[in-house]
Amino acid sequence: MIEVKQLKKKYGKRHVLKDISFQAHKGEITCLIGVNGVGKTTILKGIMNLTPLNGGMVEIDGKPLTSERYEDITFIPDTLTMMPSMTVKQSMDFMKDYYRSWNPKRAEDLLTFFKIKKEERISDLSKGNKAKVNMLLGLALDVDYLLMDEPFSGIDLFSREQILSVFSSHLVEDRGVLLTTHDLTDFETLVDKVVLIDDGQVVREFYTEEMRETEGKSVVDVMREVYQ
Amino acid sequence: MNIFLKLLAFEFNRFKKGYLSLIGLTFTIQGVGLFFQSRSYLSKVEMLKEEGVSTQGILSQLGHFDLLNYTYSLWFVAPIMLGIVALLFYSVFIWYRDWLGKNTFIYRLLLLPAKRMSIYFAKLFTIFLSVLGLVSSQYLFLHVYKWLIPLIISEEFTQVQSIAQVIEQGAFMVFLFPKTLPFFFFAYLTGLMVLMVLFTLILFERSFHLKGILLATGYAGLSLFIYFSPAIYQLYTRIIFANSETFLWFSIMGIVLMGLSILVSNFLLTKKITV
Amino acid sequence: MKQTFNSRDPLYLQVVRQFKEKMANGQYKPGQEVPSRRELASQLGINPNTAQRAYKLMEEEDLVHTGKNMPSKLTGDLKKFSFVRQELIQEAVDQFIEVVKSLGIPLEEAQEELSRRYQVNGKASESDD
Repeated sequence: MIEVKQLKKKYGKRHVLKDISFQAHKGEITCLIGVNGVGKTTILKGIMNLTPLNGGMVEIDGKPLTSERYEDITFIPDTLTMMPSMTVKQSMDFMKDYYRSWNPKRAEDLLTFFKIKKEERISDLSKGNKAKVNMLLGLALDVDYLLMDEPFSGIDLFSREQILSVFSSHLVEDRGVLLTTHDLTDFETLVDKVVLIDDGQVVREFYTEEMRETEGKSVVDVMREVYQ
Repeated sequence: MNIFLKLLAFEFNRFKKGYLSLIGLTFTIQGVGLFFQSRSYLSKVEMLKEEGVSTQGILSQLGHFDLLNYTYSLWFVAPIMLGIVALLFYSVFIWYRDWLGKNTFIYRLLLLPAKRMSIYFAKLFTIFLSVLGLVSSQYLFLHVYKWLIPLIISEEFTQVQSIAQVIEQGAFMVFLFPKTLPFFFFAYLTGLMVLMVLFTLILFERSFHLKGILLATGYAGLSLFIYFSPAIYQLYTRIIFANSETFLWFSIMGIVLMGLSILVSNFLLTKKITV
Repeated sequence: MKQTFNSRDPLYLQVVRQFKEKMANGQYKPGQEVPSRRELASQLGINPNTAQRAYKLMEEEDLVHTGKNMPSKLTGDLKKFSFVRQELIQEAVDQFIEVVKSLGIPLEEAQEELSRRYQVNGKASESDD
């Protein structure tokens, strides 16, 4: 379980995150939702210690997150952060070199799944294929938890479909996924749990099926209540 | 292989092209310079010979063409300056390149399953080993020039010097190749210390941006103060240390600064850095 | 093929409903193997946990049987199939009656209209193909 407790973050005088607490469980897809600029990305970066926080703590399976544990939890940023001069193969080799949890078999499966050629240079890839390689590099790690920042923003329809299909496949099975998005299109049916963020706070935290069963509301209904 | 060594190899690989070109350029400029300089020397010799000046007379007018003299020519010195400037530039760029553009590679580095100081030390030793490599290649090139000169210039117009002599008396040489072993260590460790302070300044900026520049300036001031405190002490108290004492004090201050820079850099990299 | 779901009703119930419809219209045969949870999830574009929940409910209702290390199968019990069919028919008819009653339409008119439209509708969809 990823447990986020009372995260706080200030940019100058502006409190971007006032008090963020929530949990994301293994075997579930948890979605951080909020309008743009609400600090969703900051939460993920804060969890991974990519930006300093002004308070709060993060525990993974009951233990604080240190860099040695990046074998158990990984972060897929919203852009591919490999050097443009590298080929797909070279970026895969980079991961293989540094992570014990790199799973070469799954990496190969993913290449086939996404129909990507290893020999291509990152700089020559289309936007959609860059997003897929970005996903591949994270998904091929045998980690328990995957954090993803806006995994389907700014890509074409078919790439989006392919990436969406990842979430109903064995590729994330039994793992905990925590992702941010501002656009739920085609994704509502894939999410287990939703954490709605507004004004630096968690305003709702619920399981989508429970919400539908007990209140008869879709995720978008709840969003409408909160943001309008 | 541990992550530090892998990262060191990785960083070195990233610098390889630029670095090898730098070495190549040094050799090319110095070699071409040697060619032109010796040609113009020889043509002057020919002219004087035609005017009927004796060998002795020519030598008293032009001097010998030898390695030691050549080290004072711009052809020889400029590539060394270029090397120094290039490495200084790369010492800064080695960090900023990871934040450049949309594909910010620093994400990958900061997310590696290892202590973040491995990134710092990999970058540090990439620069440090590059300096050593550049200096050794210069040492090697000196031998090449020493072997070349007698092939171009006839015996009576040149003089054979030992490399040790050239290093002792040549331009800049004393900085690149300190004479005694303790001084060699002192000079290169001081260089390493300067590099570590520079890295800390960069990390201040990368952590706090605009405010970081102020903090970096403060840290630079503090470092200068710490390093030169023995000298300041001497000025203030008018107690003059013996040479060996001064040497010892600067060494101690250098070690203190290295330790401080590591502590501060570690703090910044693990607690304050933002991407 | 991706199915569209109503985003306000629990998905697992909608999945169970789809199963029942296929059992009722003969698309699924008694004792037939059904996709694994994972396969079902990717086929429908839903969360594997939801597929799991749907199967759990169908197991509780004895519509699906899962043996150890065996693929899940539909029940071979024909009575179950006719029961499911009956359930759906009743549900549809109840809905029809509810609407018709609320409009104040008498039974005879409703019956007449029902049989006329049923045939027209059937022909229309045949000629569409």
